[in-house]
Amino acid sequence: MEFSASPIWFIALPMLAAFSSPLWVRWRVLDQLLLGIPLGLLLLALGLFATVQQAPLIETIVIAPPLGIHLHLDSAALLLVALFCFAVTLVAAFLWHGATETHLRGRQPFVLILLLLAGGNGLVLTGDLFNLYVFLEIAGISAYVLTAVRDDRPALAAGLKYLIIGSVAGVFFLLAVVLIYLQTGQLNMAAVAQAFAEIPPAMQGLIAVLALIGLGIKSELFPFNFWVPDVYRGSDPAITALFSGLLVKAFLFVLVHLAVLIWIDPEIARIWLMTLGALTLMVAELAALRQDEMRRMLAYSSLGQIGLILLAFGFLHESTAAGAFFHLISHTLAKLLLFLVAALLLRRVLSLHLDALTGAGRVYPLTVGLFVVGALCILGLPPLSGFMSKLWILQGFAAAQTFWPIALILVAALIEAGYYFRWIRVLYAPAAASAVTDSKTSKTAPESWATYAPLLLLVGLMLLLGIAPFVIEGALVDAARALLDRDLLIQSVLGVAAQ
Amino acid sequence: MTTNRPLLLKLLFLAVSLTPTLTLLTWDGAWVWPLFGEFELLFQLEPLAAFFLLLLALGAPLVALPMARGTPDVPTYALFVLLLLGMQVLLLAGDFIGLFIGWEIMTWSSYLLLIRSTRATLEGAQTYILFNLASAFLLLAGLLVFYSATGDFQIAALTEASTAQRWAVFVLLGLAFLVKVGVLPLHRWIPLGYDQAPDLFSAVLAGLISKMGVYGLLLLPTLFPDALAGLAGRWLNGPTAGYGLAWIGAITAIVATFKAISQQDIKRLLAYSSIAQLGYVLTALGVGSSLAVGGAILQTLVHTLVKLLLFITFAGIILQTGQRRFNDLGHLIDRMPVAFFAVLIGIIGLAGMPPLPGFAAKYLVFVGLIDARWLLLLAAMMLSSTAAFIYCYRLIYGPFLGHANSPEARDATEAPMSYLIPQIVLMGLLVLLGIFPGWAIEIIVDPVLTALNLAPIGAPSWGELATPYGGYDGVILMTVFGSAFVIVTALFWLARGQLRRAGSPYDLSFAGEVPTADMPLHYGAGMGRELRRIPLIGWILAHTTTGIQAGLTRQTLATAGLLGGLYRRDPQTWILLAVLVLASVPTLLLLNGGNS
Repeated sequence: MEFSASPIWFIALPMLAAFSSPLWVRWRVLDQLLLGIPLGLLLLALGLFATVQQAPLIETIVIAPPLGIHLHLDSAALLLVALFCFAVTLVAAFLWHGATETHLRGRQPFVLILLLLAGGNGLVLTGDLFNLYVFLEIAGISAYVLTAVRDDRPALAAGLKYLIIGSVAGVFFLLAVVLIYLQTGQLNMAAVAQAFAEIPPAMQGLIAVLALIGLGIKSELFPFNFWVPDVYRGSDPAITALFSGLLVKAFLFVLVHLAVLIWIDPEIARIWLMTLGALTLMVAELAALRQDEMRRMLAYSSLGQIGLILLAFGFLHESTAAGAFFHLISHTLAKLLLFLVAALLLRRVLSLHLDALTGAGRVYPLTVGLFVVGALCILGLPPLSGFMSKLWILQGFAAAQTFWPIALILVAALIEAGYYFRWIRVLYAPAAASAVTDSKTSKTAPESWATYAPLLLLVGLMLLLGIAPFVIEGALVDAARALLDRDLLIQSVLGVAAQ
Repeated sequence: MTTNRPLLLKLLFLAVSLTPTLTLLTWDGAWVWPLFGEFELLFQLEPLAAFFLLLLALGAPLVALPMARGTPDVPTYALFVLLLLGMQVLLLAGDFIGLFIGWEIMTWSSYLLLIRSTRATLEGAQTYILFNLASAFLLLAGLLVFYSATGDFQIAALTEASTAQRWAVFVLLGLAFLVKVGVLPLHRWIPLGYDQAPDLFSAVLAGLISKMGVYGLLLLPTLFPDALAGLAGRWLNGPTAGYGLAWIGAITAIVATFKAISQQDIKRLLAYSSIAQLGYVLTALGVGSSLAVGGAILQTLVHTLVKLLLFITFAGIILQTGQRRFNDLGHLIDRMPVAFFAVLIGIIGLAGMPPLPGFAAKYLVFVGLIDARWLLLLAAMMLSSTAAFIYCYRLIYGPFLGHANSPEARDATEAPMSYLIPQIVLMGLLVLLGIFPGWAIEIIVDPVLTALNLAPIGAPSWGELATPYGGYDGVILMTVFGSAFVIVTALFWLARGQLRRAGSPYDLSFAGEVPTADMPLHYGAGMGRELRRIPLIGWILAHTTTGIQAGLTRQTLATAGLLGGLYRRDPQTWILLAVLVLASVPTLLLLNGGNS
């Protein structure tokens, strides 16, 4: 029993499977494993919720913290790990039955997707700063290569851009880690959190800014997110679904987690995080208004939602943080759905440009219908989960008598409605329906139900969480508590060390 | 089996359209659904909501019947069912979250129904959804302020809040509902939406969806008891806050009436007349006394019936002729007699003329205004309801009298049975309500008034309408008008042989003037154009809010373009930016740190 309950499996299993891939190729079980491993981990994570609710699981590697590396599985990390495993399971199921593109089959994407999962899980689980940097690079490198995996001009350009900007982000973060180590002699997060107050204020500021830039680039916050639309546009939509559903969420969590741990003064952290969140939200939503390419539009919308989540986390208040976790989940569900719909559409039409898709809703009713459901969820319209998560965040702000974020979120939602409904209207436009039919209905045979099954599962989950949010209420509140309770974390880690 | 599938679908659709009736008849007690935290949804049937559910129960099957005609359109059916579900959730909700959920489901499902029309333009669709979502988000903001003041989402009096909070809730919720009702200048989505929606769906928009805004406005007295007087005291004999609302309603009614007169498209005319009619309702609600609110409720009922009747009838005419402009129709009285009678009854109800119940409603509102001593408002209402006769006249003259102005109008036949049945049912209901205004007051209006803590109006008998300022007997009135109608019609038929037929438009060519295709020969053509010469009215008609909206859109898109430009650079620019931020922030921090 000790064996199965260890958080190390969330990282080790995908890595092991990825590195022994030649074996799986010979046995022809790549598809099965790509689905099976994250599914198994998802079940493990679901099974662990009750245990972790009692006390966080801490897995020490070689030596106990603060000297050794440890993995820290508390309610917040577990929630995200479960979400990541779910996202990868879903994309794997979609690829298994749906992917006709050769570049998404075979060994290369298998290895990269599992490494991405390992990296994402590692980012939220690790309790050590240098280890965090390692996972940041693992996740990053697999993401760069996944972007370019299609091996054509836009994909390679996007991959190269991602590589450059991602490496710069890595350097910034590494510098922050080095400075922290020089100043405190510690790399364990809990120990650093304790010792951080003794660093001179100017150095504190420098470290904070370095880490903020590094993680800000990675988690796509406003002044550092100019690369995002290009990368999302260039990579394959099924892969982009993972970037938006998994990778960004991991970096965002790391950012908030470090901010809570390291910044002593919650007031300053609140100002910084909320300002960045609000800026990201407004700028991205406004910029999205004029996007005529579906993947770019979805990229901006994703940025906007990230801003909203950061705004809610940054308030550092239990109610809004629980809402932010909820919104993180419902955004992942919706963006997975939207990007997979984009992937389906891209198989049938040559381009995802607005003009090329005019009237597509009348030719592909189910696919475009799913797009509408995803859009409604992102917009936060009932009865989908996006509404409940936004309501949770908003009521948190209202209960705290803070009204400017409410106004901001509602205005942003109105702008967002401006472009999503423009897309919906164009997709159902009556005029040029023939253009879509002409271009290539004959390209592929109609998809089987197995292709749509993952998408319909997403819709079902959105409805379930939108109508009965109480099913995950406990997990969300626990996660928010675990994220915000700095003292508890320090004590649980170093308490273990003292024994 | 396969041949029966469309029929089964249609029957299922019709059965689902009866759900509001079923809910109205059987809903009993309260049903609680937990959400998260201490929040839960409470569903119960209050008398006020029951009145609006009655409208829904009347309207839904009557519109569903013609909708079920032809090949089944499954997405439309599904969306209509969702719309009905949303409206029922809205009405049954005992708390603001449920109300909002219903409101939003109604908003997006109606939008998706609207864009199924082939006539919907991008501008029309965007205007519809953005105005409605703005209304929804104002509602959400208002109820969040409400929550922050009370710690609860239950719909109850807002007694323990500060003045600022009360005004914030009042303004936010008021604006939300006023957008839905379509008060000027927040009305632009109504003419666009009603015009571009599928023809039958316009009936739902005008008859049912806009009434949800009235429902919202009627909730305001629940939140602010004593008919809003608690907000800002009283003015003359009524509440001051209500006085403002009443003027908004009156100005809306006047301007929209003149706008309606100058329209060339039937559905746009009906849309503006809806705005004007709901303006009356708003004025009456502003007064807040039992007489005026009773009038408002009766007016809501009559307006629902009339607008369902007119939109279904004109949907039938458009179905048969494909024409929707006054200039392109004419002389349908012989070919579509049922539609003629439907429109005749409809406009009598719309204009508020006796003997139909529109008169009773208007009478109550006028009496309410006199009772409150708001005589200036009374004059404004008189002006607008008199001017309304002109557009009512156009509705009957344009399509039914004069010459047929298009080949389609010349060969039209009566609409299919599925259109005629709702028309006949609605005509019957209007006539019955006209005969028995006292019944309408006692059975329909009084329970709502009691629920709003107002004195019931009461009626001596089912046929009589009685107020402290006098009343009338509907039975006698209907008998008089009915017999006059019969006598005049009989005389007309008797004299028919001796009347000289009017000439055809082709007579003109014999008079030496050959009409071209674009020369409007119809008497009703260009009617209302002359209104532009009247000083103030001309100015109002020449100015619209289109410019403001277009300007706002342009500015937003320009900002979007500017910000979007940031995202199209090379990696070096991004890195430079990161380094710049890195350089500047610590400098600032150091400067700050040095000071402190």
